Amino acid sequence: MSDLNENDLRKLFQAAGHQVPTEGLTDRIMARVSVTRIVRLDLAEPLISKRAWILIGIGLVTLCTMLGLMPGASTQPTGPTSSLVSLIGAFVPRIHLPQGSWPLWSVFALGSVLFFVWVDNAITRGTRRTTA
Amino acid sequence: MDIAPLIARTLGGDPRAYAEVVRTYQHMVYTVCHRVLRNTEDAEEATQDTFVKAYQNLAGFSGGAKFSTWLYSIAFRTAISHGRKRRPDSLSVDELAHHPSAEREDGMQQADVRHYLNKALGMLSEEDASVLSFFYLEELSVEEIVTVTGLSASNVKVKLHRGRKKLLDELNSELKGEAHTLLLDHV
Repeated sequence: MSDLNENDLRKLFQAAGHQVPTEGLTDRIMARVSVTRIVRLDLAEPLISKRAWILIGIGLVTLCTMLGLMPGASTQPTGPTSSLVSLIGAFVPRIHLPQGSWPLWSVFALGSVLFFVWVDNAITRGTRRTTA
Repeated sequence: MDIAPLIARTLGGDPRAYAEVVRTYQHMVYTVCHRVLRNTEDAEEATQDTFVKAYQNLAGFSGGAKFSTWLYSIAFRTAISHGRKRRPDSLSVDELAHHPSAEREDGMQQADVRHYLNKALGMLSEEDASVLSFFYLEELSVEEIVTVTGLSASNVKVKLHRGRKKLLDELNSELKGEAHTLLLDHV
């Protein structure tokens, strides 16, 4: 008579089947479930959405461009934006112009927008994980 | 069986739907708990806790994984946690194998097979016995067992290999030549 081998194990487990609990287990479980509440997942919405961050970023870049605050721009604004800058300048007389190059500041502004979008996503993911 | 409508109805406040979920999975969950705890009372308590925890967190079930895998995971961790605070006067595996309710419901043949299998599994560690049961009885893949137990894939493979060998040794030494006639006639 040969011994049991590896192939017999699956058949053996299947033949033995599941353990059988005592009668009335379902009722006992449901009695406990009836006094239990489901934890609802009310996901906290981020205060500032991804779209809002993008719009804020674009708005900031546009404003900076229009005001001629980009490094390398003249302290005396010229062209179509000059009247707008003069107008704002009247209300905010001491605007300090930053030093640097225009492309660098553009990259910085774009990078800031992307960073804020990433932060927004990370906060959203973190909130979901904590709530779950 | 499509469990999604039952879950949706449960979340909608229908308790009969969850009773149906319990009826569908209670034997599987009880078996997982029994493999770890090897005691009727503790296994039933852990089974109850499992279904209560699953109910509480049902809204968190994403549907990305299989419901059974999610439930096994809760059951396994709950049973392990119960095992840490188990009573010292627990019933032995032998006593469990001759539990009268099992014999009444299944008939002697299946009860015999279960008795010898339980006895041999009782010689293995709780984790090894559970991993073998997940693989051979519940037919979970190694990846699914990793999800359920939290063990690494390589650890699961080692436990499968080691457990399989030890289980066969135990069964063959316990039953000697009668192994095939007694067990495999019923397979």
